[in-house]
Amino acid sequence: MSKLYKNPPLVESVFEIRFPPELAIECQKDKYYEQIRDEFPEINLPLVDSPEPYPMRNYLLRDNKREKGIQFSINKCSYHRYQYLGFSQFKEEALRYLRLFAEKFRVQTIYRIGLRYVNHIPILREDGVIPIGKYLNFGYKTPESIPETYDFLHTVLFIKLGEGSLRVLIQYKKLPDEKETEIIILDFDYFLEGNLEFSKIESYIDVSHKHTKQVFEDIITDYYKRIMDMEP
Amino acid sequence: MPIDKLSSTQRYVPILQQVLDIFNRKLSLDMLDNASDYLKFAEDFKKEAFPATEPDEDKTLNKYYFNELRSGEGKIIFREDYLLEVELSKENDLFFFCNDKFNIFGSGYTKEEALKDFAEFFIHDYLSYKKTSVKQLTQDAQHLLDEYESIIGAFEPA
Repeated sequence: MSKLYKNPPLVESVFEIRFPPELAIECQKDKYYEQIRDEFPEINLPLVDSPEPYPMRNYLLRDNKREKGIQFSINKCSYHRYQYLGFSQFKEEALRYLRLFAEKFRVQTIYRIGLRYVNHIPILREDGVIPIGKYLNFGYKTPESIPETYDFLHTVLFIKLGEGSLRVLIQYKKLPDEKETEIIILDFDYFLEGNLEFSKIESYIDVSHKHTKQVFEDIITDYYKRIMDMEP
Repeated sequence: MPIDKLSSTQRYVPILQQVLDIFNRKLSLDMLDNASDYLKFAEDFKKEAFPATEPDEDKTLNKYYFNELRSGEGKIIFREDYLLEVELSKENDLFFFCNDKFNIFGSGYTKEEALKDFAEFFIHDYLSYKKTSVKQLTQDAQHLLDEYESIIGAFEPA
């Protein structure tokens, strides 16, 4: 993510804040919506089968092209980008919408921020197995009796990194499309927890991006970086 | 589904479900006329009502890129700065890998079979031109061989 690739596998980027529940959000969501209605005309209702109490369930607002979205409930708010145009633009947009939200509902203390990048790397099996080493500089140290002939994989790592932690999900998935597309999901969620101040939100997103970017650049192989540089 | 595209009935189904949930704790669900129909409707509705944070799966992944191809005849390694673009399609139950530039395609009932078929054709085609003397090649064939040579860094026979 240090450079803008022409053909990146990124399908969604998210910046989220979580804060102590604020009941004003439940009954004044229309006030916030009035300020962003023109940009996010599509309203998606909270899921009915969520195990969470109703006020904790998210509303999702999206633009007409479904390139960006905002989710919120009484204790969290997140900005989503499905069409990523670089970190500078993402950061500028995320901070703008989150600041608007925080000002409206007087959110000053937050207890978690998270920057998430979800990548779907399309793969083709080789000799029936997932050639993970072709796409990712990542593997498992195993005894000889466990060869690297992976038919399926699902790994979640929580890594202490800098000021926060990075959750990395690496998962094989077959999409339910006609072409039976197979992908490796590479999902990063860098988060900071504790007594955080909303006024420092810009420094939080910067530090989150710095660590996530470095891990992304290091984990992607040169072969797949060349594919990311191909015209889509 | 966006709320403005929902019928008024659909808009209230989640609320109705909440009411029914509460009601169901106190009364038998059988006492409610059509309650099961409403619940089924709510069940269908919720599947498409809110895709959470998942983006639409509208990115059709059609193109794949290769830095090498293998077949029974050997292995082609493309030049370092080149990746062969191959397009995937599916008709009925058959997968097709196709490259328009070299007019080569491979098919199979699985993607692996189709790719294997494609690689066999590609390598065989290249070797056929390569083994033919230049004098016997037509101008078009000579041009195609030049195209192959411009992207292939090495060939390792099996």
